[in-house]
Amino acid sequence: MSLTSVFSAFFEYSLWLYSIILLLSYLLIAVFAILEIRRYLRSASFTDYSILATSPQAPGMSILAPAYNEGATIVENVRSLLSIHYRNLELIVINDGSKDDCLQKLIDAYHLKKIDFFVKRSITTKDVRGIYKSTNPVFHKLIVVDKVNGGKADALNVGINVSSKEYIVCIDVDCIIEQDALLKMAKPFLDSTGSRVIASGGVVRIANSCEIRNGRLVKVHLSDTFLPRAQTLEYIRAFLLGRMAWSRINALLLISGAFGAFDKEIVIACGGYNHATVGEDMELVVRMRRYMEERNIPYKVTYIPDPLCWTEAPSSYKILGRQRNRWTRGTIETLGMHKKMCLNPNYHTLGILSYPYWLLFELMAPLVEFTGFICMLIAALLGYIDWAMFFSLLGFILSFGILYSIFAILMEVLTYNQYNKSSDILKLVLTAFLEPFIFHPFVVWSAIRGNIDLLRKKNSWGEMSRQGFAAKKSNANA
Amino acid sequence: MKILVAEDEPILIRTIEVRLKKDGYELCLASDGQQALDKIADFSPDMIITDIMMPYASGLEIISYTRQQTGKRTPIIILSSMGQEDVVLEAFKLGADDYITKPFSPNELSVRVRRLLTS
Amino acid sequence: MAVMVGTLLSITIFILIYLVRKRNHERKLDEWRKQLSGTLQTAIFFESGENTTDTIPLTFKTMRGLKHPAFRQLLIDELVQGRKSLTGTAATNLVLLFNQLGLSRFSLQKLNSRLWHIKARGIQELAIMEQRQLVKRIYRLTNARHELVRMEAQSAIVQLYGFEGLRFLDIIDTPISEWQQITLLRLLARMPGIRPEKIAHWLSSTNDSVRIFALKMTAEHHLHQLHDRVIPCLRHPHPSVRIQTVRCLKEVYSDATSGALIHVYSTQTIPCRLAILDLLGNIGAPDNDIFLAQQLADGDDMLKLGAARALIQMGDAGRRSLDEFPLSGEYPWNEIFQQAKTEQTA
Repeated sequence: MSLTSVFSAFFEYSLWLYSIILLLSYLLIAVFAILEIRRYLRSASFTDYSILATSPQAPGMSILAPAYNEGATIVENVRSLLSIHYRNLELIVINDGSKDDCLQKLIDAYHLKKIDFFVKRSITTKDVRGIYKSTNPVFHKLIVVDKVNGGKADALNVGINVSSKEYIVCIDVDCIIEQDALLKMAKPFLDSTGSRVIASGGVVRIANSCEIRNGRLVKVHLSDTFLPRAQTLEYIRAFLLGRMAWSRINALLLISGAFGAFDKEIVIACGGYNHATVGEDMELVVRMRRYMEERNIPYKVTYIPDPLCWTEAPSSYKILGRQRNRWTRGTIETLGMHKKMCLNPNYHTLGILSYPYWLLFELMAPLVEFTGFICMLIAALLGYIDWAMFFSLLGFILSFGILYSIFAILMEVLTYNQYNKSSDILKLVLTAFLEPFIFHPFVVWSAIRGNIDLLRKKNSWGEMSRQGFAAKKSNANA
Repeated sequence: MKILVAEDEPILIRTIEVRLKKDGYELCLASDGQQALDKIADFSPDMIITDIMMPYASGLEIISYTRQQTGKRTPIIILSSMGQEDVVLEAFKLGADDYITKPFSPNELSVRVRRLLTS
Repeated sequence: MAVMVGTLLSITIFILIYLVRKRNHERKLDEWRKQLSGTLQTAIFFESGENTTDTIPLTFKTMRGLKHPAFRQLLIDELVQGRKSLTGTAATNLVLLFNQLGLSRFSLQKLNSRLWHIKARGIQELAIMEQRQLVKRIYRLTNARHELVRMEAQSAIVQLYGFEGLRFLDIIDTPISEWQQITLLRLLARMPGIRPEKIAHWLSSTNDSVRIFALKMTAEHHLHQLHDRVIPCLRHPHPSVRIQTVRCLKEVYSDATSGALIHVYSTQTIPCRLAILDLLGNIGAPDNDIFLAQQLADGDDMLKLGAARALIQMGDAGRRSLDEFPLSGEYPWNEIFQQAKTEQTA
């Protein structure tokens, strides 16, 4: 037995082991997700959320929406947010030193006037240039904060400082939020009796090609281009399956920055968002969990599977690449900042399960895939392993991946059924087949780039250009 | 007499429709705020009955639109829920004429409609 | 591998078949809804009198449809929704129809289900359709194993019997969630028969959530006579009880309140202190301004703002205290006072 053949055998079998553990975890995730969604849907089936919309007992919520150069769509976005059904609500739009006419558009559209407002510095931030409120009582829930540019984390922290309510809902200003979103998001905070609910996440759905009128989603359509469609599939897998499963065992590490509700007191106690990382949304949740674990206070992070938030996904490979690159860097930075938790029993499920899983199977998966594939290919070409082995491993992983995606589609159809045309379902199934060959390798490659870029200490958001919801004409009149 | 009713709950809007048709009014129905705004211009109602919380546009927007866009002083009744007293006040500031809280009696609504239209 | 592909294809085919069946089902439901709309309207506007029988006339089609469980359930759902939205004769008639068709036995069947959410649904249906004769069955479920079934049973008893239905508060040892409290308060809002002596009893409950609920009821119904029973809650070990007490006192305060608040102020959490400052401003007792002026020097800026707002609420005497404060020209007091002043004028 030569050294190389021992090495290649070892390599081959560890790859098999890794794959099998990964696949088993997917199965477990599927089971837990089903149980959790079923529990939620059953509970929601006889809940009258409208009581919360008008009850004076409902907890106060501040929506924090940082805006940077969103002048094209800001007025429409704010209008849509103002129509959310909730009594005790304030909408805080934070203009993060936009270089365009974002602020002026808001001032004109909503009759804003600069007011005297003392901003408490619970969290240190860049300077606030002014606070604006509307002279028109119809818009009394709106507060616009103008500040020196400091990035999304800094803008959110300013929002936290300005907020006067118990709970904060952090969103991306160009997301479309359903009108009863806050009712559904508020309920977990009110349901808890033993543990304190410190954060609640919501599902983000892809709005590309959907009909949008006046900032409201009128009809759901599956995207007509491949890239957003692949992301739709990915989001269904990640949100309906992944996050629901983790949330069932209260071990969820991440809440989307596009839509999440937080207990403000805990956020401030933790020091707010950290602007040293590009993954500030993930980092905050991890830090909040850590805070509660270290003080042995029983707590929960919940997740709502209803489609409450719609966002426009990148439709070009360039922008998608930047996004995935940033997500990877954010994950690495976050895990790095909290490495104390790794396999540390003091952090219970978080330390024993969540952190190692995220490290090995979320973060390292692209690396393992990439290097594994290349090495196996080389090994096969050089004859160290036979092609049958190579293709069977590849085939096994591919078909499992596709099966998992189809299962996700099944879950989506059985629960929310947003894409109820047979043609849409077939398109999704086709996307599931194409994904491993087109979309997935690109995502893996972007993740690898993310790793490399981090090593090179790049630290920016890149430029996210958005088509704007209004740009896509609605099919309503077609 | 033409009345526009904007209400997203199917049973309620149907009940109101039947009740007011029995009273002899001509009705136009809207099941959400946007529909209501679209129909105000076309239908030129003599009275508007609108819910406050609806998809796409709220009752307040409808009141605001009616008072500003159309020249006539169309009487407006709003349908509110318990706990919406502050919104009702807001509605009156914007120009609403009367309100009725859900759950309500269709006969009572009929009386209020008649009273407003004859005054 | 073949197994995988086989599974893939079968799931896909299953999805497509499911979609088609679901669409057909939805279409059927819509048809039925239209049909039932007529039935409901007949019921809602039914007028029973001396010379007519007390049965609501129904079409043959409807009677036939009742044999179908899905149709029946749809009718029950529509009746429940209608009953929730309407009052007066309309509401009475819907209950009449429910009874006339004997639908209560189907809701009752749900109580026997092993599935908790079916039980809860059944309880809701019976409560909304005023099936008081079945209260014993529902009362048994206030001790059910599943928390949500228990809560629905509790709400149902209150819905059927009003304030008297809150008897379970005497013995309950599990916490009542905020959501449940909101639901119960909503149900009680339109009901007569509040008994302050019972609420007084609950104000001393060992169950913190019962105490909080009692405080909320005291506030909601402005039970001034319970003021002296509320004050001791200011010294409760749990901060959530204490802050609820302050909120309650906002609705039932008397001359003695200010003194009690000032007495416990220094031992409270910051959110509680803010609530106290706001209340002191509301009460506006003449001596409060001295205490409030002292709080202007507090280390926490939000408390400074709270004190300033309270002083402004007290009128001229309060404003004078602000102007006379030695550091009123310096940061942060200048901004804080400015905000408090402009808020008042807005």
